[in-house]
Formats: sequence, structure tokens, C-alpha cells
Amino acid sequence: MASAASINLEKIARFAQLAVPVALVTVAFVGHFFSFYFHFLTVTLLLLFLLDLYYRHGQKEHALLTNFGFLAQARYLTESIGPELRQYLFSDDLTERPFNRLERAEVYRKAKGQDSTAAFGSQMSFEADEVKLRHSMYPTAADSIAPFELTVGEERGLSTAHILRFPVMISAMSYGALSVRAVRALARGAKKSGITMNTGEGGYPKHHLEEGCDLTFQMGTAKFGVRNEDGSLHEEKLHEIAQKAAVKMVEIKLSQGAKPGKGGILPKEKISEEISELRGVPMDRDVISPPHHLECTDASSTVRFIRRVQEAAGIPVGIKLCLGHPGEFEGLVREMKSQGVFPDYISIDGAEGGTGAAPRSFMDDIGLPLHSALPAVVRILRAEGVRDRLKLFCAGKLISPARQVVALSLGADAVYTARGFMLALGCIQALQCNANTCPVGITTQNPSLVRGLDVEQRSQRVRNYVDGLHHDHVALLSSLGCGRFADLSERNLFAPALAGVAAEHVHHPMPTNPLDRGSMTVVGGVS
Amino acid sequence: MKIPKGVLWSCQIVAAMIIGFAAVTKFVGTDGSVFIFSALGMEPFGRYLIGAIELTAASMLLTSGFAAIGALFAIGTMLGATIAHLSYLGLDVDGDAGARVMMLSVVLTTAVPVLIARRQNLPLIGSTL
Repeated sequence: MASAASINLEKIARFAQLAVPVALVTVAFVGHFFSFYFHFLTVTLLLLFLLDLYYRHGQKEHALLTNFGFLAQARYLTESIGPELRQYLFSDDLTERPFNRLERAEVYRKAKGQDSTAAFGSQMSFEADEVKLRHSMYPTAADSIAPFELTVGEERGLSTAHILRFPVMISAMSYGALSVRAVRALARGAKKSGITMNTGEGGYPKHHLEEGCDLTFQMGTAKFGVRNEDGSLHEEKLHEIAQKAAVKMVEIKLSQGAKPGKGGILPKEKISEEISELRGVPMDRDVISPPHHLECTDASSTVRFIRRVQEAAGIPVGIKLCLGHPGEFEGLVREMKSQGVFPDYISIDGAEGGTGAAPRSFMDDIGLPLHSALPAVVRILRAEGVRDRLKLFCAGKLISPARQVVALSLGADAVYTARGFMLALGCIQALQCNANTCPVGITTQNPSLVRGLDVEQRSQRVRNYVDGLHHDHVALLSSLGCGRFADLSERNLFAPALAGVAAEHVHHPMPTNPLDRGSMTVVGGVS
Repeated sequence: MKIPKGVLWSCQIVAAMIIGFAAVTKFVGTDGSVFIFSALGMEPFGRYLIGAIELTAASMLLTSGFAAIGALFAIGTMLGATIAHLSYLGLDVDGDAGARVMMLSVVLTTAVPVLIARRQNLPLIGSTL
């Protein structure tokens, strides 16, 4: 029922429709008989009158404009600034996606080296089905926690095995997706903090190499930089890149959390001379990445391809994938066993991964989320008795130290984050990574926007973020009663909502009725 | 109907040259422009104001991103000029045998297609045009 104070927009629109020509004639008279300056208004009203005529009788695309004329613009104008208004003013600290203000603020504080304590209790909802960490009654002394060390490639006895000294790595972001300065700032920050950075699938990692940090060279399905004309592997080119001192590992990207089962398109407009050279693609046509590697059509051919890449590279080689069917993955693992070939690591991308530009339906609805995928992968590897034949990495919104420790407890040996480091660089989550208009110069090639990103200053923020993560990792491990990262296990987790595959893995008897909170807390003891 | 880029740029350059020249005559204060603005009762402030608007429009017409706004300003000033000719000045101004009206029509004829072709670059309302 309309209230007494309700506004009849239709009447207002009719009034405006009449008022504009009347005002137009009036000011035209005033302009003629009083002062010519009034004709500024005459011209403005004339243009407004023409615009209104066009809206009501010319265009057919917007029903609102046809019915209400130029007044309907108020809706479009307000709507267009909605995202900014919501982000700046109206969204509370927990509602924004993909990362809410609290999550971003924690990264910002770490990147600036500021204290991250908060007061008066948590903002989180403790009725939520979130995974929590279980602390111990007998915390470990922080100074007795062993430093993190993980040797990738030790299973194959490689002399080129790569030692990770920090459990977090910069996830795959290519030059092209990122600006040169963003790549340089990340790489310099990685060098300063001694962490490993993934190059992304952007071809020859010229700008990543300039800072001398440890790199994982990623090879996507289009094999930019290491491809033959037909998209197959050019072994010599791969060998050449793998021989660079800074390149410590090679990663074969089978699929990606943001768009599993889909290859990207690089439009010819974006292929500059440099990008054409680095990626090894022609400039005169669009380059379409296939949804899978040309060589990988089934489990058997995929494992053979892994061996081929290992032989060509001579350094640790891993695969990255987003899990779809656990059964398919199980088949792949069995094939690895039968051929006696294992990648040096497997990186599991949760479907919540998101730095790649992707169609919304792929971003939103395809692939398993990390908290389901990772336990499933661990279970399969253990069931096949091959968990100790390789290292396991994972990625998917792991920007905070606690989420990283949860992932490590679920069975990962180390984790990747891309967006954590983007936020450390100064990302404001403007959600324009795919539009070349990133306002802070991270995901744009527009020189006037990239100008604002100071490589040295931002690299220090990356370093600070890593230091902040390290500080919190140690504090968390201490609280959990663990003496080293390898002690982390699913026993450290309270996981009320891990459904399906995850529940099997986590061992705790899960309540069948999700509303049955009482039983859940009772069964929350260590199994 | 899509207007070829070359034609569009030619229109922009022609319109920019004419109103750019008109702006200069206003700033310099040629006899003709002082005569006109005296007749309109806008001398000298109005002369400088219109000159500034014309100069802005001419500069914007020489870019691709702002040409639509430039065209809109150019059309606005030309509509003002049309009113002036219709109400005070007539066709022949200060013995120019209609040259000014001619120039005015050329600017309108070249700026209108620019505005139409590049209307989506207009701020605020561009996406609905």
C-alpha cells in the first residue's frame, strides 16, 4: 500500500516533460529582452529538451528512459557509483567479496609493518560453519619452533632440488596480467624476503628475472615462451629457461581455479611487440589457449608429458590443477604409480582462486573449493601409498596466516597466494583486473596508472607482509602446541562444515544434521 | 551507419580549426568580435568567456577520448551564435557578407556527426546513448 508520503514518479516525469520546453521559451524571452547571458540557459535547456525527446521517442533500449525521460538518468547515475558508495560507506566490515574489509586490513597492516592487534572480541560469527584451529593447553615456546624447510625434488634425488624456507609463495601472475612495475615490486620483495615467486604463464619471464629472486616457471596450456608453432612443447626453449640460475622449478598448469577446464584468450590488440616476443606468438591474430595441453588427453599421456618435461627441464617439475572429479585424479595417481613417474609437487587450486580474468559462470560455479579438494587429494595420495613421493601445495584465498595454517593442517606442505601479495602491493579491490583500468597500477598496462606504483617502496611492503606472516605463523604454531610446520595435521582443526570428501578425511564424527550444533561441539575432541 | 575514422577526424580537425580561429579573434579583440559582443551587450567579459569555451572545445576536438565533449561544447556555442544571428545580428555582420554564418554552419555540420559517432564517450549519459 502506498504511503501518504510516496512519490508518484510518473507525475513528476510528466511535469518535467512540460517544464523543460516552458522554461526554454521563458529564458529565450528573458535572453532576448533582458540579457544575452540568459541564452547560456537557453542553449542548455534546448540540448536537454533534445536529449529528453531522444530518450522518450528515439531509443528503445531502456524502458525506464522511454517512460520517464531524462529523469530516469538519476537511477543510472546512482547505480554507476554504487560499487564505490558500497565499498567506501555502506558495506560493513564483513560483507564485501571476495575479501572483506577486515581481511584486507590485516594484509595492509602487515604490509605496512603495523601492529595487528584488535580489541573487544572477534567480529566473526561463531555460529558460522567456519574451520577453526584448535589450540593446545600446552603451547610450544615460540623460540623453540623449528624454521620451515621443504626440499622440492628430493624424492627424485635431484641435485637441483629446491629448498623452500618459507611456507608461502607468490602465486602465478604473468607479465601482461600485471604491469611491469608490479612484477618488479613482487620479484624484488620476493628476493628481499627469500621466498619463491611463480612467473605465471606469460612466456619468457624477462621482468621476473630482472630482480634475481627464486622463480617457478609456469607453463600454461598455450605454453607461451616454450611452444612450437602448433602449440606443442619446444623442449630446447624450456631447457634454456630451466637453466637460468633463478629458475628453480617448472610448473605445468593443467587447470586453474578461476576457470577450470577453459583456456584464456589473448586478443591481438593486447599483443605488443614485447609480449609477442616473450610469449612466442604472432602479433597479427588472437591467441587462444586450449583448455588442455595438446599432449595431455588422458592419464597415461599426461604422466608421459610430465616425464618429458622433467627430462627437458632437469629441475623440479610440478603440476597445478583445480580438482573436478576426485575419481579422475585417482586415475592419474594410479597411472603415475604404474609408470613410476611422479611430479615433484602437485599444487591444488581451489575454485575460489581468482586472479585470472574468467567468465563469471566459470569463476562462480566450476571446480571444487579448496577445503573439499585438498582433503580429497590427500586421501587419494595416502590411499595409493604415494603421499611421500611428492610435495603438495595449494592455493585459494589463502591471504591470512590462519587460513594458511588451516591449509597446511589439511595436508599441504606449502601454500600459494596471489591476491595476498596484490593487497600487500596496495590493491584496493577495485575489481577491475580485467579492464586495464586498475587504479593502483597493478593489473594495467596504462603507463599513467602504472606511474603511481613505486617499485622499491612496494617491494618493502611485500617484505613486510612476509615478515608479518612469519610472525603470526610462529605464534599460531606455538598456540597449537606444534614444534615444527610438519607437525600440523587435521587434528589441529575444528571443522564443522567440511562436507563429503573432507568429512571422511577429517575423521571427526560429523553430525548429519547441520543444525545439530550441540552434538558438534561435543564430538569436537581430538580423534 | 558507421562513419569512417578518416572522415570523423577530418570533421574534428575542420571544426577545431574554425572555432579555434574564432577563439583567437575573441582573445585578440578584433574589431569584428568587439562589434558583435557590444551589440549583444556582453563586451568584454562575454567575449572572453565564449572565447575560452571555444578554445576548450577546439582542444578537445583534437583528441579521441574527449572529442565528444568538445563537439557538444562546439554545438552549444554555435547554437548560441545562431540565436545571436537570428535575434540581433542578421546574416551580414559588419560587412562580412554572411561569412560568419557560413562558418557557423560548417562547425555545426562537422560537430554533429562527431557527437553522434562518439556519443558513448560522453560522461554520465554516454552509456545510455
